[in-house]
Amino acid sequence: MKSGNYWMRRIFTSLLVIVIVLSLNFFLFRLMPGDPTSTLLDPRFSPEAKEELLKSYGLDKPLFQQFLLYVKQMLSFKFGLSFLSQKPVWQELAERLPNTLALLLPSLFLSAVLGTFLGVMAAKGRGKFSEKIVLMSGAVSFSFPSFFVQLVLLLLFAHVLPLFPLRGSASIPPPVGFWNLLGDKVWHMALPVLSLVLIGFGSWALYVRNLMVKTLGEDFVLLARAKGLREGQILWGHAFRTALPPIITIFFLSLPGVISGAVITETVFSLHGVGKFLLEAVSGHDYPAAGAAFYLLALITVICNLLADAAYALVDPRISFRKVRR
Amino acid sequence: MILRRYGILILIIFLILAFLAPLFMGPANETVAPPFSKPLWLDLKSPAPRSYSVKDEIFSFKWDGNPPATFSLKGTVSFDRPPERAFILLVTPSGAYKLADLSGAKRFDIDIDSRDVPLKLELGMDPFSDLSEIAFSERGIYELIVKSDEDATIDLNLDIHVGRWGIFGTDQRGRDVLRLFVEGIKISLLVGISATLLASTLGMGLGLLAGYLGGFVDSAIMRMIDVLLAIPTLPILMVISGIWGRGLWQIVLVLSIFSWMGTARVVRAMTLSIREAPYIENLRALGAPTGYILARHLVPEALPLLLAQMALGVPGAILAEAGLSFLGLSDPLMPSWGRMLHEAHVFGAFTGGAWWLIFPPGLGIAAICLTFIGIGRQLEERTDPRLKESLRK
Amino acid sequence: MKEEIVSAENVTLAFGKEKNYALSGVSFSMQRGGSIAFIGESGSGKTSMLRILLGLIEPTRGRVRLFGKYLDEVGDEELREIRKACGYIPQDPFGGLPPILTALQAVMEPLVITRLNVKKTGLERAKELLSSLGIGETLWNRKLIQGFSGGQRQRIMLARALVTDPKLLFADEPTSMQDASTRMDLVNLIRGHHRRGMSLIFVTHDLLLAKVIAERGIVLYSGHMCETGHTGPLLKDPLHPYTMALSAALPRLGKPIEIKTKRRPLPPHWKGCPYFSLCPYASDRCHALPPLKKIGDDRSVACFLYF
Repeated sequence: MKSGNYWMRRIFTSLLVIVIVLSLNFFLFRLMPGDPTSTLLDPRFSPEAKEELLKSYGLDKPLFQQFLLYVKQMLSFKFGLSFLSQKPVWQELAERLPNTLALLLPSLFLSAVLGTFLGVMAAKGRGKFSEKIVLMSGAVSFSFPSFFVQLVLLLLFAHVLPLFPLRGSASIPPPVGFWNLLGDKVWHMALPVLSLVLIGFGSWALYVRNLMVKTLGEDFVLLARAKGLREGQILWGHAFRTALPPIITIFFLSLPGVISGAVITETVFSLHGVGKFLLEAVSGHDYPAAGAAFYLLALITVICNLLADAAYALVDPRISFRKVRR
Repeated sequence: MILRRYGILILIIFLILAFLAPLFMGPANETVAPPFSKPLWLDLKSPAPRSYSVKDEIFSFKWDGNPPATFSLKGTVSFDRPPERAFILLVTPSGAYKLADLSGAKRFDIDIDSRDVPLKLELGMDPFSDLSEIAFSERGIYELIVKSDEDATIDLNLDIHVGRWGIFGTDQRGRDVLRLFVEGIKISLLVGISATLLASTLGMGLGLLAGYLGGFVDSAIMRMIDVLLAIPTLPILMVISGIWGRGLWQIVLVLSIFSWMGTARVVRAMTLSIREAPYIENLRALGAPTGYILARHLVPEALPLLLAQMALGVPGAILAEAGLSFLGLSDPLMPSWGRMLHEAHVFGAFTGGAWWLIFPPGLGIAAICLTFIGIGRQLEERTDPRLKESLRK
Repeated sequence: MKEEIVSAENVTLAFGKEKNYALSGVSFSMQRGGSIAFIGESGSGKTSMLRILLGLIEPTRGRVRLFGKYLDEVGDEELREIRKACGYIPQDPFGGLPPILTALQAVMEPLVITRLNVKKTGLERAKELLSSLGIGETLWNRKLIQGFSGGQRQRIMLARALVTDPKLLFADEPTSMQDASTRMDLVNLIRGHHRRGMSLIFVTHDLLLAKVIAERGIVLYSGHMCETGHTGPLLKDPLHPYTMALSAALPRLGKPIEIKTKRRPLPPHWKGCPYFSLCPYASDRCHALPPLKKIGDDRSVACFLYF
């Protein structure tokens, strides 16, 4: 029953996030100075198309009904036409989403694994080399702007040493054959993913280290040592298991930041992704596209959050969500 | 680490640089040298850029380096009477070049640049050729001659720009990177500090409200924090700045709306833990008035932590502003560090290998952030470990 | 007859929605120069009683009179003045001291608050108190967050309470973290002040310590007064079965220690004697609540054995 409550609360929060994102989208774009139609309709559209679009947005109806209509359209992924490309926004986004996910998921996974491992090692070898590395990389990832690190990497490994492509997410023209295509993809995504890992793992490592140092100082670890357990068993089997739930918590707290990082990464490496699409839409005053891309990014965050919650339940079912106080 | 120990000192140096250095330098947006000029110290063998004031009819100077990037001649030449035949000649070891014809008028305003296409055509050269490279191809004595059949009053400036400039070189518009860098300190500090101050005020207010009132207000505020934490910040900043405009204060406002949550949580936890602390009851049992308890205990105890929280919040704001500017969503006339990196990226600093456009702003951001993190950690160490413990719960 | 310094009339404290009583119907009065120990196990309501006497929490029913004034009638300013004449040693030595002060500052603080002579005599007095409690000069300027043991903190709290020469001291288990050798330092200091006229309200779980420090004792069980009287007779000749158990539990030379730990919970909404479930003499009449009955000059007991 308790865990039921917890899920209710989490899902309620997620829904609230979506509602707030949608209202922000709706009201920000509509409460702008000037004629609301100018933000929704490209001046270059033909009069018939304008008429039809106006009707589909329900702009002749009161604001609240417009809002309901808008929410309905967003929930069914009807995003309208892009001003810039004159194509349906949904089509544009669907084309880019795989690239964004191919950037996000591997880098998130790799930096979490690497960071956690180094963090545990640093907690074990306090004052040693591994700890210094972790402390340094933590400070770097908190203070160096991601795009700077990425620009330097680009300069080093794409300009000075031309190992990786300078820009783009695929060769033009694309190579023939599945394996060549896959290889080309990996070649293009390698540097962006590596750069995100390089920037991201430090904060993970630092967090895990602090948590583990605290856990290793607790009495049950002493007890485990007194029982004569092997050090590795104590480290991973006892201490790390205890420290795991908060690590999972921070995992989903870090997600919005990672998504922000994806926008910048896609811009630096000119990747054909949702983030870059958002930037182009925002700078090109392509309002339907910008709103939809933002909505999609928020949706990805919310879904990741819920997945992380599920992972939390798998890691530690005993806690049954009563102690999760964020 | 050095930055940690001398955090305040470095901050003061940054402040002095930001507010005093512009007094000795020209405006940041001024074009001072050819685009993508290297920093001076990169190539010490080639001659430094020079600027000659020419008053005589024959002016000679020595050139013993590689050809300069460009040269320019500006100023006036005036005659007592309009001369029939008059011109400006540049005589070089490789030949003579007629830079301007001065016949038929009493006064001439001269503004010649080696990149001017009409000039190259006049000299019978290909418009895509490089006049400065051809004219200065050899070393030796060079002469600038104003030749006329009348007495002339000459007030000219000959500027020879090598592709090297200042400590940090120039950017794609020929602006001094050092001046831009110094301007960037100001923007970063301004945005970082003011956004954090605003966010902290907001966070303190809401945190106090939540902790003190409890009940419905508390859970409403906490839920609001949950929601705001789950919204990716940069995309929403992008959307808002795309709609509201790209002014500095808009960015500050939006940044602070999306970064008060941490402070609010800390203040809420602090309010709760202090409300329960036995020593507060002990002080009341001693007959201490509320004002005394607040001024002598609660504020001194909470202040270092709050200040630490604020110091640790500054890097976030600076990085967010830099990110927005890097994406090109800032005022193009306002030279911030993020903007510098944006332009370096967009205008192909790589193809030219112009790394001096990337490192100063990037390392500048990192240094300021590390400084504030250092200050924050130092403040944190001064706080009561027990209080910190209770905040972690 | 001396004037009364503190009294409680039928003090009752309820908490929670289900009307659990931390205290029910506690009454007593004490004259200037007197000393009373509240004796009972943890959860018996001793600490709540102390906080109510100082006006830190309000009782659900009943009222408290301190220095001749009802606490529910005085204003904030007057309450503070009354408190300034009192000393208070809280139970928790870790939370009970302000963390940002040094040991010496913490002892001086009450003088600052009460605006007594701070400058020279105050400082001398604080130093003297600390030294007499074994807090040496090297510790004076150490901040309280920088690691004092529980015992040291308790001694600092005692010095803090005594530095103003209070007319009335409230001490909540002031020796709980002391070892046998330092305990007597504290006890002697408190007794010395008491001999010089300070009144004392003292909370302990230890009948023997109560006998050493206080003249009279009030035994509390589950918020009810079980027995009152001089501490000597309470210890030597206990009347209430709970007092007997407390007395029997004291370690004595040559006597094997019996420890009875079998506890049965009371039925819900129990209205009878609170000690019913543990009492070896319990009978049917104990389903009603025994009133406090006066036996002899200065002795009362709430048990049907004496009806």
